Amino acid sequence: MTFEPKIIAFLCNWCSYGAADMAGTSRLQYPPNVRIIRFMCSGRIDPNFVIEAFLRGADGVMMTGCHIGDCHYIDGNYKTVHRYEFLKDYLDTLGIGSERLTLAWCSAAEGAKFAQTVADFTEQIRRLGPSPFKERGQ
Amino acid sequence: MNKTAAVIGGGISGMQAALSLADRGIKVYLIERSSSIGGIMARLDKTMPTMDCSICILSPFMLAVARNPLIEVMTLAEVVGDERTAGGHTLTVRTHPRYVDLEKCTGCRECMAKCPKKVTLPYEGAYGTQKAIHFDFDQAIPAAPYIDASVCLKLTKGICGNCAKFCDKDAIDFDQVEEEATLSVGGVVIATGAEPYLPTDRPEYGYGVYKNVITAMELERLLSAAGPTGGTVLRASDKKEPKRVAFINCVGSRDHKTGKGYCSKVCCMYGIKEALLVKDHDKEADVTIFYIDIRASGKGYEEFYQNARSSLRFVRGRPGEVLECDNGDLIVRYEDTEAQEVREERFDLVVLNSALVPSKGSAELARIFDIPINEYGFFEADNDYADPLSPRQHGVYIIGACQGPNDITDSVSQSIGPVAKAYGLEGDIPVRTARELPGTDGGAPRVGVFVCHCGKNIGRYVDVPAVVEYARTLPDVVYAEESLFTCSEAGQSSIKEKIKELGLNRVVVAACSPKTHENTFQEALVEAGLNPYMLEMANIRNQCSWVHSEDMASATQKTKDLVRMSVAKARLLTPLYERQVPVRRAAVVIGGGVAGMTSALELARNGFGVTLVERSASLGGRASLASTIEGGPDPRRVARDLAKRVATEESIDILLSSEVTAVEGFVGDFTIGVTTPAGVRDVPCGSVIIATGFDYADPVSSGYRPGGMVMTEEELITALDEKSLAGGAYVFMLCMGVRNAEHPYCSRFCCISSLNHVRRVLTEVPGASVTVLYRDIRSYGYYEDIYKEVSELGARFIRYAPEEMPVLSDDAVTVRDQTSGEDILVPCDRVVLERGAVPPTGTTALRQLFKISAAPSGFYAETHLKLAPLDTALDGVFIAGGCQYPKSIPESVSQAISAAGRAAIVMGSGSYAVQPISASIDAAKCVACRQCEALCPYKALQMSEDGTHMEVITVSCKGCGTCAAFCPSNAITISGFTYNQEKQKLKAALEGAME
Repeated sequence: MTFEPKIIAFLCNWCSYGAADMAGTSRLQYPPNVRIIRFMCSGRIDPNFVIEAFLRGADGVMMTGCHIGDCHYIDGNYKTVHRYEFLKDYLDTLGIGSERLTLAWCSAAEGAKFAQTVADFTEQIRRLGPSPFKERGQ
Repeated sequence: MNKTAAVIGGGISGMQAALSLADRGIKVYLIERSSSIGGIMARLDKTMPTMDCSICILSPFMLAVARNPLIEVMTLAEVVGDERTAGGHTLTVRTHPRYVDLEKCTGCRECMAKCPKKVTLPYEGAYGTQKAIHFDFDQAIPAAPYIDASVCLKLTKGICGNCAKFCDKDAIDFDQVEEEATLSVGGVVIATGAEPYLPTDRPEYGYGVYKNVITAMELERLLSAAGPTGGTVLRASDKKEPKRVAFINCVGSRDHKTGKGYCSKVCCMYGIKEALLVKDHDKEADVTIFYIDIRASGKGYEEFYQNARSSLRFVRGRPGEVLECDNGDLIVRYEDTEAQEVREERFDLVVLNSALVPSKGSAELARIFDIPINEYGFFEADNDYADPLSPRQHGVYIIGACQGPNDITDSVSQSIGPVAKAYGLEGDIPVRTARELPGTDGGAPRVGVFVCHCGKNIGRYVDVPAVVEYARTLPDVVYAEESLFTCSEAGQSSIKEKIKELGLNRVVVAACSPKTHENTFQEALVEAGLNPYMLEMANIRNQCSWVHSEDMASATQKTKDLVRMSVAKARLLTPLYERQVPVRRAAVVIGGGVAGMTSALELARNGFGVTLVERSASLGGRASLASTIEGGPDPRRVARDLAKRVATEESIDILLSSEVTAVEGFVGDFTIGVTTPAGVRDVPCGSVIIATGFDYADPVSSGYRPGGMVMTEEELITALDEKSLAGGAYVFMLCMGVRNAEHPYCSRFCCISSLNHVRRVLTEVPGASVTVLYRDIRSYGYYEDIYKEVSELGARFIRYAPEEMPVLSDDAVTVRDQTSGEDILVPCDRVVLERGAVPPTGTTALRQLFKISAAPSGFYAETHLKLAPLDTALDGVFIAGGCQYPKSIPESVSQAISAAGRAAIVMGSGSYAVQPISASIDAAKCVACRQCEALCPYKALQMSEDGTHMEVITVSCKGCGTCAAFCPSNAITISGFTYNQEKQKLKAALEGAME
């Protein structure tokens, strides 16, 4: 059976979730591998959620939010950047690999960017293959 | 003052007006002639340019109207008399019998099944298969059918009566008669809209004769899942899917032959939308649009048009004739103006993009209210620069398409205006009381799952019955069902019934986006006695059916996953309670142009203090330089008059040469930092209106530079005013700096102002001749009259293409004429660059201060392009005028009045309900490390008095959750997004992933 990546995407309510909605209304097609979890702000993405996702078998995780400067909560997404940088190091340390985590900014008007980001990231994970953690878990 | 209003017309304009009036505590009678509110929008399949499902975005408004205790909906009703009184108006309203008792009817439709008499619905032509007792459309409100008395066998011949026999509720009442009642109201809002023209007096197209010639409105019904063919495009003659489809633009528009000289403004765009939908239904279909000019002059329209060009064929030319073949195919005979030859082409289906004409009864209504109508039969404002909503009668307002063809955005932009206009002087503003939310969690989870087909938007691409079957297997799910439209009255009634019948205490709705529909479903929960936050939505339309429409298996699997994730979170939901925050009764208006000054004056009239911030040293904005359009007032005088009124209004504080440089707080309690020449001033306020206008585009991006014989339109106006221009050959170049790679949008007003400048040169400068180099002349609406006038004055028009820009030399312009394909040398003495508009400098900085987004064009993004064009992502902050998108002065004034209305609603209520998502801290877990305090952008965390743990200042907390994401001891919980809720959702998303 061909490998179908399991990807978790954390979206903020104001920008990237709006972008995902717009990808829908625009009927943009993207790979069906992503499962979306909505928070009010990308600043809510607790690093534990990301680790939890990999522990439970995710092959990739997307963190998305408003463009820098546009955060609905002033500067939540700056904190997201810090957590992303920290998580990348941590994922490398764990042997999962930092390339399985991505960070993308999509405004509520950027449906096309959201669809493209999902398509590109899915392709990247497909190339990387199943999460090594998953294989070790077995 | 009589605190009641009548709104006549229940379309999108009338509903928005009614809702906004009710929001300020005004009792509203919403008087609708047909059997349901909703208007034209309820019958559309999609709306352009966002391609939203029309009924899906409309039905929350219909339900909000139906639910509002201050709005009384009167259907099958019309106003037949008006008497002016000291306090307002006494209206005579005639109500026609529905023959169905609204109190008793449950909308079960058994009567419809048993009715033997078939009828055709409007716009459903040859396909109509409704019964004499029917709904005009599935989501009709009131949600009860009505009997068409002209065909009902019982009412015409005294036989049958099946509907009454089979009605369990005894709701059929043949004894109902026409009734007349009088209503005493303080104000009247007329929102009777327009209707599609039936082109029976254009015999050359064969409408009404050839079966396969239909109007765009009829095609809209065929495209709609709720339409007569269930969303399949079938031609009438043989019920086959057409492969070759032609759209003909301007049928009954720009047409002096039929007395409709105006441009109907919406047809170019709805034509492109429908053409794309035909392609969406059948990728193999060949679709052709015959056009004269493509008038894509609204926000996002030009980009929509340009995208469509790759999949549709556009032919410039107006077909002269349509002929029918034996098999029902159609021959379209047209002159291809680009190829300069007469051609014939065969099509399976011809769609006429027909005009909008005044609603039936408009002339009668004008007589009743003694308000003027224009030569085309639409209602006319007295002075559409000063007050585009008022005809000469005091206390009567006209909004939406009853003024002339309007798209949804423009209609909505006007429709909140009456709330600002009508009820300002009294200063008697009601305080909206906090609503009591039900509270109990009802014990162990009992989850109900409601899966929506969304017409065919979900059902076509996802196996909904399989999803429902699957949902029934999930833990704690005690009930699951599917419905055609869960957001419809019927769908919501079912949710409420099942909550009560089965004791559901948590609800999952698998449908569309919570961003658009969460409120709608939350209300249903409240009405059934559940706390509204016991709802979880799975966005299976925007995240599954629409984006995986080519892969039903994956779309269905993903839908099941999303439902499982939602159920997992729903099991852990707890009741939440809204917080009320007090609201300051003062506003800041940014921008001292016509829009900003209008907003400021309306707010002042409504009893609010206003600080008007203007960057330059004087008020007036762009209007200070505009030219009078024939027959209209002088915009410079309009601006001067406004400035004078603003200056003398005591409650308006004017800050000139000042800029907003800091923003703190949130709706109800902002502090706006304004840098003035005298230093920084902090202005506290409850609401903000941004009206910063536009700047002119730099023509250099189109390849031209002013200087020598080349001048800008601004320089031209100054020279015209100084009478310093000499005769000679003038060349006007349109679309300078826009519709190019850098600014790919159309800035809307410039064709009209350009034509006006041409008119002035031809009439004011002796010995002047004019050549206009254009791409499309977008003189929408009544502005078509100026185009006609300028053509008659002798202006020569040459169409250029952006790939072959005209070349300037010292004394001539060389242009490749797109009509003849030849290079034309136009000798000239003067070249006028007509510049488009760009967002003003400082837009990005202001945007980032307020945290509101930009549209791709760079202008401020509204919450919803169609239905909330004045709202921004930040509650309490509104946009109006050119900063939302370039527009004419009357359009800016309409928006400015409506924005003042929106701000007045926010501030007038005295307090504002904010969502209850917020942080709380478990004192036992907190180690008082104070990291959260440093992270919080709202200073909402503080040390407890005894210094042992942190505390949340709930009123300051916005619920972003960034503190919880950091807390090293997991002491912080975000209500609505708790760690455990999200962890369970994550777990459900990855079920089976380790295998």
